[in-house]
Amino acid sequence: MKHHVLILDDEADVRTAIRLQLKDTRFEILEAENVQQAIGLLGDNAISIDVIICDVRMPGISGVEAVTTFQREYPTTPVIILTGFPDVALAVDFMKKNDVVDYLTKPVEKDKLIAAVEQAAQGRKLFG
Amino acid sequence: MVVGDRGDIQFVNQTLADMFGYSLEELLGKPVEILLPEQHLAAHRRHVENYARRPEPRPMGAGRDLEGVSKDGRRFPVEIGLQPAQTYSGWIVVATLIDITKRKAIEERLRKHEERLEELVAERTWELREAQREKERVLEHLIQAEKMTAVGTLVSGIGHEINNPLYVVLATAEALTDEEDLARCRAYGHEILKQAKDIAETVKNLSQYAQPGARHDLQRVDINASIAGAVRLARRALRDDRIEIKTTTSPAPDILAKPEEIRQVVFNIIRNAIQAIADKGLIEIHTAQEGDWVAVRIQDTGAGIPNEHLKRVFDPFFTTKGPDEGEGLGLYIVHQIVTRYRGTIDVENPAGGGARFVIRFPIADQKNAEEERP
Repeated sequence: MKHHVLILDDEADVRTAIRLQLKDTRFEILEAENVQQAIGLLGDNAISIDVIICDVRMPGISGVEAVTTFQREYPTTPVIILTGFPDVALAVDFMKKNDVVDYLTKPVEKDKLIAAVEQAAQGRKLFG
Repeated sequence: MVVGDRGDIQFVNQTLADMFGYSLEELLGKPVEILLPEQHLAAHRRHVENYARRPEPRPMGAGRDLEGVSKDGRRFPVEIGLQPAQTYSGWIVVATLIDITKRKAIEERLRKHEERLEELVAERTWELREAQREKERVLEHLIQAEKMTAVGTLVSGIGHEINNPLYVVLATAEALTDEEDLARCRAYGHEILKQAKDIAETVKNLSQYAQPGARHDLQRVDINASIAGAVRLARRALRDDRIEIKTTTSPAPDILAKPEEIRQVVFNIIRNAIQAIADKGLIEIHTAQEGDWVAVRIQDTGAGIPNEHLKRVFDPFFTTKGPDEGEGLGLYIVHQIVTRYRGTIDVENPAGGGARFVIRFPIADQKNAEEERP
């Protein structure tokens, strides 16, 4: 079965950047520009999503709300936050309230992102 | 006094004799010139010749200031009236003299008073101008200080706007270093350029806003461009996903201002509107020319302003917000900037809810381009 990473970010350029960084990994990339699209992909039984990479600030819905939804509907799918806001307080809040496995800030280097995704995916294997 | 055609005194009264300190006997038959200061004699002779040719009455007070000299050599101002008359033995002139020493003294005092008054007026005007200049300097500082406070909140917001494209630059550059296909390398290069320009634009926008206005002269400002800049800044920095900012502009003539101050006006009102909107909302900005004015309407779907606050929103340090949301100078600064450009600002609660600010700036023309310098 193919492994998938779902990217949720409202900016196409950012989604492309994540895709570039993950292009030589074992993961297939799926993109969603809003939460509805993301939920649609997560609900598709034909694909198995190993990790979600989620932005914090998006038009219409906040990353916090998005993560809450994911955790409720798909509690075993690990979420990595990738945000342009280097806000410590927000990060701590996220970690406390949600079971996010990592909190990365843009710009993140390729090796670090790959390591985070791999770690999250393996964690899923253990608990999922 | 009666003077004959040879300049001899033929008749004199006691008053005139007393005025000059002579007895009647000392004057009668003497040339009239003994009553004149020596340096006036030449001029007097010329006048006598002219007068003999064309004798006509000269009323008192007409002509130059004249001087008499008394027996003891004291000179004093006199006013002289002349009345020619024909007698059987020839022409005579009846001369009436008034000692105007006192009048001159009063006139002199009056003149000095006037001078002093003019000096006082000049001094007071200078003091007022200085006070006005000082007020301008203080306002300039205040505008800058308020702007820098806003910049503080902007910087954390702008971080997001820089980090996103910066991340794309980083990821694309990483891909570029591993790439061997030339066409793809070029595409990555173009992408990096695009993102770098985007970052540069964001930084430029912020630094333009942060610039002290004092460094600039007034210039012609396209209000629509200023609004676009402020909206861009607000969208990026105060990026609030719940709120939509909609701008409908119509072409408007330039106004005369410092561009970053106009941006500050619009930005502060937008910021205020964002803070007034509790949940989701809309901010609409509309421009139009109204006669000699350019009008800007900024309307939000927030809670509106309680009627009892409408009159106070432009007061310094008036705020209904918590200590973290500002010190109540935003709208005060807006008001100060608008009025210094001879504009007006009004705020109202329109029927549909929310608050509406209406700002009007006078259109710049060649005349006020030269004269109006706040």
